Amino acid sequence: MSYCVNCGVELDRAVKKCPLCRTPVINPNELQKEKENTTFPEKIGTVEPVKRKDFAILISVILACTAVSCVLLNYFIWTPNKWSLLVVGFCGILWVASVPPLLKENMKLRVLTLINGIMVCIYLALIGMFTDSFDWVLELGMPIALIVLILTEIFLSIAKHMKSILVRIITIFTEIAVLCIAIELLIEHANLQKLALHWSSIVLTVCGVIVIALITMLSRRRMRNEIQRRFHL
Amino acid sequence: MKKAKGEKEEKNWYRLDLSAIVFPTLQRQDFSSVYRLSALLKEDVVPDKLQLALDRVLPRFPSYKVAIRTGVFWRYLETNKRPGPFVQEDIKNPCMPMPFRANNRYLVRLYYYGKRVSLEVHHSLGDGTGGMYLLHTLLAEYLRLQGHPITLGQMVKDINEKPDPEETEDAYIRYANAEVRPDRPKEKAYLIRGTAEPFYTLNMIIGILSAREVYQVAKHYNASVTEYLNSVMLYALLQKQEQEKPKKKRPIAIAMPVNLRRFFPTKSLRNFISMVYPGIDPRLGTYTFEEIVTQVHHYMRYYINNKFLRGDITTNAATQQNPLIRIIPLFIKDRVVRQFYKMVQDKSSTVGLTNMGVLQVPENMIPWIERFDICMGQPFSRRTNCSIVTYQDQMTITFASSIYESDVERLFFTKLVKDGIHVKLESNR
Repeated sequence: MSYCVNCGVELDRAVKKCPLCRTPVINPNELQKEKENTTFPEKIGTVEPVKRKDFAILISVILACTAVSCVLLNYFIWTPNKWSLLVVGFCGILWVASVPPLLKENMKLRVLTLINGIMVCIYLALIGMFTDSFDWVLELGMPIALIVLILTEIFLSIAKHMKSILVRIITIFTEIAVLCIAIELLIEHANLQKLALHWSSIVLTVCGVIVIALITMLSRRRMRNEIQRRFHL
Repeated sequence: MKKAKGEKEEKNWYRLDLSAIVFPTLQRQDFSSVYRLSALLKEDVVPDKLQLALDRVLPRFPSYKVAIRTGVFWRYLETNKRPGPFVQEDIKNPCMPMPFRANNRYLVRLYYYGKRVSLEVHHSLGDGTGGMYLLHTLLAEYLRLQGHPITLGQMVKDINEKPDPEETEDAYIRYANAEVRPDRPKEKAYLIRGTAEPFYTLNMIIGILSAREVYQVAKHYNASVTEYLNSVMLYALLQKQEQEKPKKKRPIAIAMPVNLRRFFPTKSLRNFISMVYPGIDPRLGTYTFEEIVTQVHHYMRYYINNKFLRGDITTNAATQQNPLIRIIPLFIKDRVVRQFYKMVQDKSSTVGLTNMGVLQVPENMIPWIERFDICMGQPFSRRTNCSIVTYQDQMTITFASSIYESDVERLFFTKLVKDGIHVKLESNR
């Protein structure tokens, strides 16, 4: 029978330190004693993973049936063009977006976004095959999809490490500006025009002002507190 | 068996009761509203017999042999015919999250460890009293299988009789008929700030006291045991807030569930509780312990009676019964309720404290049971929950939290020690 010298409470035999103040329990009479049965088990429980495999199989079967039947219809009945490519690509995107998260518990959002981005690029290539023109895919579609993918990955990475809402908003506005500039330059490049900023410069200016204002708020604690006070819910 | 004329089909689904609606909404990957009821027996538990007892007893409690399902406007409970639940060896971290699809969709878990049997129940099935009926009936059947004759009575139900339909009723609706609706507490209370422990950790500190000693000390302060323990808790929280030296002090409030069966007769084994919030406001001045006891004593006498509680039930029922709210799809309701709970309900109290009172078992069960413990489970936010139960002369006070610090527990128990009460502690920390 041991008592905590700080708290004055009696401690269970299995307790090695006082759970209230963490003072170690040393009973000189019981130093040599073997470890007795503990009052609480040592095993740590974890939640049983939910089996969502059946649902994943169901989705896969539905999407596969849709894709296969469209391909068959395209080749044997309605054959004016390769329209089934669009359906197959769309089914692929739906599959990639829905099935991996069901099969793998706690799948990282960044990995899922990357897979989806790649699938969108493949879908663009399929549309190119359908329209028999790859120029717009290579000069506009793919580059824009890749830029959106990279910007999303950057945002997710920042959001994971930085909990501040202000930082996230700054990232969003910066990325909007970058995306608009990239789109305008790509369009001009595709149209064989001279590269220059026009409408995107307005977006750049607006986003720039917002970002600078937010960075100022972020860097000044007094201002940050003031905003928190005035806008608290 | 041929059905008697006019006999209705067995009910195989139940609406969630008024309290139960909230609990699935708050469900997260790392949080479930699960509570634990434990009994420490005098002999080691035999798992096979415990499983057999569970298999025999659970059908007698149809509202506990269920799975939770999602409808368009509300969730509901559906009779679960899958195998299980199965008894398992106990774990260090009780009340861990209970995903609705895991465990063969059962919302009940039964553990054993040495001499202890622990029942964990999702709060959407019923409150502590309902769960205690299940545990007592289960223990009685287990002891019968061990060869001990156990009679019926107290909280032990007859497993051969048909469940009374009143046992599965939503008793709130029957009594939500006051003409006025009192407001809910709106002020933000002092919130404990602690360091979050890693996922799956639930720190428990169990204090074992002599109920007679506590009763005598409470009598010395002219208070009941619940009033005295609430006062000790408020005193501990008052000291904790003062130690933190906050720029702005906040009122301290305890969220205390009241068993409504004491005031409104029902056999319901589902949720039938209402919350009261005894508290003190340190902004009004410095309180001595005696003043806190007086404040809590008068608060309890004023609010805990069938008039005020009926008003409270009516306030809670009004939202659920509003036709406009009823037609809102569940996913929208979920978001609104979750946000309301986070912003208002969870912040209106500093800690949760429940006192289940003195448990009675049939005479011939007494020799086989050492004591009972109850645990309110993981708190929704970073705070601590305290649950109290008394059996024979043993009172157990269980603190459960997912934070590293144990200041509240230390201040609480040291105050009891200073008042001359002998406290023995057990912990999984």
